[in-house]
Amino acid sequence: MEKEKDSYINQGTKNIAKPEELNFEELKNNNFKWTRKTLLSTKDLHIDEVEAIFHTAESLSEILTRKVKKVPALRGKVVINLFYEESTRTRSSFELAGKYLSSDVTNFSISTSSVKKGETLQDTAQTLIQMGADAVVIRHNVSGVPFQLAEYLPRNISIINAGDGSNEHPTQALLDLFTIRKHVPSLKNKKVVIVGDILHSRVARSNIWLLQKFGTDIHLCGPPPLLPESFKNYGVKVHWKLDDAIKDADVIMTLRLQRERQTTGLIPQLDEYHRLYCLSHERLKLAKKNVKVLHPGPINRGVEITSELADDTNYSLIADQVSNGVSIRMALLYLLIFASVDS
Amino acid sequence: MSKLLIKNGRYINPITNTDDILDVLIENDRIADVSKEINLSNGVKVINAKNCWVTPGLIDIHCHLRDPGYPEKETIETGTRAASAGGFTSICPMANTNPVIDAGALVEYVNKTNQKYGFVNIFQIAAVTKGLNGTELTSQDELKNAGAIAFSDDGKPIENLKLYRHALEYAKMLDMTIISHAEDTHLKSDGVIHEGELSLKLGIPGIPSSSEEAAMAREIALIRQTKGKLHFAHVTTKEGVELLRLAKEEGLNITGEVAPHNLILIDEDLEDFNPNKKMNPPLRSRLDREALVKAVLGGIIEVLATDHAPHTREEKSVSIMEAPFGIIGFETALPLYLEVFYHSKKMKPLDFIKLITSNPARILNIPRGSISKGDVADITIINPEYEWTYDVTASYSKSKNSPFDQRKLKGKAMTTIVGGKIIFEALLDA
Repeated sequence: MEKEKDSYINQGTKNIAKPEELNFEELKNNNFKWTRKTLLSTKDLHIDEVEAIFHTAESLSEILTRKVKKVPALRGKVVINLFYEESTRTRSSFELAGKYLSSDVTNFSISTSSVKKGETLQDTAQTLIQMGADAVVIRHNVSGVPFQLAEYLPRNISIINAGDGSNEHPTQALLDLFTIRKHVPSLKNKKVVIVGDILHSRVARSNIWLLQKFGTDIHLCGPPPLLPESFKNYGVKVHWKLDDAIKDADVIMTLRLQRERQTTGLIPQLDEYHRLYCLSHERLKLAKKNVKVLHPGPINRGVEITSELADDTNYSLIADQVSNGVSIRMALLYLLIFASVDS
Repeated sequence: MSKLLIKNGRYINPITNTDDILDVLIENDRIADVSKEINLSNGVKVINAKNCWVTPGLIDIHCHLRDPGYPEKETIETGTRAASAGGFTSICPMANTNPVIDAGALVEYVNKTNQKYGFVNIFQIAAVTKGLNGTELTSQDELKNAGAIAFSDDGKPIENLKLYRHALEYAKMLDMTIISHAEDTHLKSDGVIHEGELSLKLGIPGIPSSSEEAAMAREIALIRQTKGKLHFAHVTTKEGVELLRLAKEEGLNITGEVAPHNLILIDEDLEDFNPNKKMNPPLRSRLDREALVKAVLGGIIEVLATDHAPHTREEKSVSIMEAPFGIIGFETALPLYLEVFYHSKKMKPLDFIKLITSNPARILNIPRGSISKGDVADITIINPEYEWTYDVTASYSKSKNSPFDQRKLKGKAMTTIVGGKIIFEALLDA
């Protein structure tokens, strides 16, 4: 084991220390030690851990600019992408993150129909163990499955929640915050507005729980069926009118609208949604002058955001979100896989 | 003649309002004597019931035995065995089997199978509509003659109110009760847990309280019109309790029951995504639970019912959306009821025992629920103070889907007597 760790250091891994040697000096808390093995939620993330993830992501992001985009940090480690739900972006982002760090990444796609035929989560967990997984990246269309699966996996296998139902998408929230912070260094009392189908959004939830840790003034906006007033109980402000919401905003995150919401009566007509909630240059005038706009993708151009605004890099950070996503996921795979189980 | 003598027990018989230290003598299947100090010698089996309650055999008016159709979940044999271990001597299984109990021959199948393999009395509930399809009424007359005790499409609310009205009219003619699963299916939609703070927090589709309230309101309107008899299964919301209160105040023939899990657990307990806490209607809010407890204390809800609903481990080891609704409950019901109403000092034993004996018997016209001289000797001997830990793997039920595994419980049925025969005796650590 010791030899193995030495070898990746020696093979020219510039800027990458062993996890226990990671230089967290720049962080406020010098005593901080990385011990986390799984990332299921942003709720239980400590600020120190967030800083450590960002710090690591920052140093690893350099790999993306290299000619040869590969370092041997996770050589010999097995990362399994366990995707119960179609997702090209998130899966590819994790796949590349793993591959840039030289781990063996395999995609394990389970269609929900075969689940109906009887594979239990216990059986799936057993399969993952037998395959020798070091990390499992899991996406499921139902809230809670990564938490349930974690119950069946030993502690030495890292689990990363890549989105479960409408519950959480912690890596998305981390990459969003990582992206925002490059432009808004401190989020304390800054106004961040999340617009769209909040009820069904795991991105919104993970962002809310994460941003709250930084003292951010969080505002939500969407039509009443997609944004129940009782979200207020979670310490955020609820708006049904976009203009009220984005007034003096520092950051606006807009969410993808699933078109099937119309068939179930949650939104009456798509063009009404566009009229009431589509983010445009015109509407942005109400926000702060240097406001930044994010979107987790894929974008419905002309539904939740105008095409012009999505492409206007004076405001839009959408392109940065994609590359930062890979860096954040590299950092997480690296930190989680190498965290010691006994600590 | 076989004789059985129960000595030194606290005899609790709600029908005669008796709560006293009395001995009970059973001859064959009947109660032969109830007196202070009965002394008989040779040939009589004696049970010493010191520190125990001697009560009418417990009656559960809401359970699922999955027989016919789902032997992997439960059978009449395993289900009635589990019931006897929980102290129940009479149970009323719902009709949602496969095939659905919607014809006389199927009621006879259940009763014959129970005679052969069963441990306790079954009073079968038959379907209101054919195959629970909600569109075609069953022959209530045929079903009653075959032995059905009540009618219900439990699990599937009857949406067509005109059809429902006619079902109530026929039931009234036959002096039968319809048991309602009050739910508006559109409001429920794909909901799997209570719609409240937790469903919002975890992004899980919720079942709003209005789904129960709206359904109850429209069914109460039908009772007002038909003057029929309606019993609401598993009431879970404070709004439902209020409707029930008003309906009873008005003098309508309406009653209600509550399940043990709704008295113990709340939606917040589902933060662990445990499919063994998924049932329909769901675990509601803290305020709902309070309202349910108060409703029982105030006589608005008169019956406690297990809603024992077995599902296999495989079926429950999936996501919260895919897992079927329901949990088992026979063996944990009594101690949980005791925890809420007796050990909390909220109720006297006599009032408490009513809820699981004479009240359900009265509501469904079940010829049980009393242990006076001459009555059928269905008796449960309960040690209310006995402390034990529930181990679901040791359950007599074929299924193990309980959220109460490893829970510390207080109170247990020590002996269950059906028709004068000892059917179950708790084997205590010797």
